[in-house]
Amino acid sequence: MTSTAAKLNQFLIGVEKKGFGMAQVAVNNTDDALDIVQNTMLTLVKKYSNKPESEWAPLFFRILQNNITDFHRKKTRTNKIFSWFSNNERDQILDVTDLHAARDSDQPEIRSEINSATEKLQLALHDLPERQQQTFLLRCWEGMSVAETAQTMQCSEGSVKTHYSRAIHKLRDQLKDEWL
Amino acid sequence: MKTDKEFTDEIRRTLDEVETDLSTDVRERLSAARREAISQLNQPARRLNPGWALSGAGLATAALVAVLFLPTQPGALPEFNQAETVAAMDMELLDDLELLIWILEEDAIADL
Repeated sequence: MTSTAAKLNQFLIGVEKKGFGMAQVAVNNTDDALDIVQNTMLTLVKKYSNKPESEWAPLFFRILQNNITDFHRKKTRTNKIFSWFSNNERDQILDVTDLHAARDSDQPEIRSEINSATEKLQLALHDLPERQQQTFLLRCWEGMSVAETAQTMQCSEGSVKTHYSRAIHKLRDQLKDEWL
Repeated sequence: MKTDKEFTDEIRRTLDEVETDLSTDVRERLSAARREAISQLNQPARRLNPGWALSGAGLATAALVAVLFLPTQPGALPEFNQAETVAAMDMELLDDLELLIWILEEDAIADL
C-alpha cells in the first residue's frame, strides 16, 4: 500500500463510523446510510486524495452532507413519481421508518421499543430540519468549530450559529422528559 | 436544568456509545466500502467531459427559459390547469439545474 493509500485508509477508519452514524440519523435506514458513506469514500479518494491531509475531514463531511441532500432530493422525486399512482399503492411503496411507526403505534409493547433515551435521541435528531441536523451533528458530535462547520456546509458562520441554536432548542423540547 | 453545554455533552456521549456499539455486520460493510474506495486510488477517474456538461447545462437552461417565457398557445392544454402544470415542470427543471450545478462545482473544485 502506498503512503497516500495508507494515510487515506487510516483517515477513513477514523471517520467512517461517525459518517455512518450521521447518515443513519439523516436517512434512518442502514443500507441507504452505508451506500451514502461508500459513495462519500469513493468521491473523496477519487477526487480529493491529492489534497492536504488537513483538508480531508472537512471535505469528507461536505461530500457526506451533499450525498445526504442528494438522497433526500431523489427520494422526493421518487415520491412525486409514485404520487401518480393511487394513495393505497403509494402508502405501500413509501418508506415508513421503524422508529416513527413504533412511536405512532397504538400497541404499548411496540411503543415501548422506543423507550430508551438513545432511541428517543435518534428519533429527535432525525426529526430536525436537514440543515439544523447537519449543523448540530458537525458541531456537537464531530466537534467542528463554527468556522469549520460553515466551511463544510458552504454557508455563513451566522447561519451555523442560528441552525445550531434552533437545533438545541428543538432537541430540548423533544427530549425534555429524559434529558433535562 | 442543564446548561446547553451539559446537554450537548450528554448527547455527544450517547452518540459516541452508539458509534462504539455498531453491529459486526455494519463494521464489516464499512471496512469493505473503505477497501473498495482505497483500491480506486490510482485508477484514472472517469470524468464528465466539460464540453458535454456545459452543453447539458445550456440545454437545461434553454428548456427552463422556454417553459417560463415562451407564450403558450391558446387551447394547447385544454384539459389541464396550465399554471399548475407549468409550475410543477419548473420545479423539476430547477431541481435538475441545481444538481447539475453541484456536479460542475465539484469537478471545478477537483481541478484546482
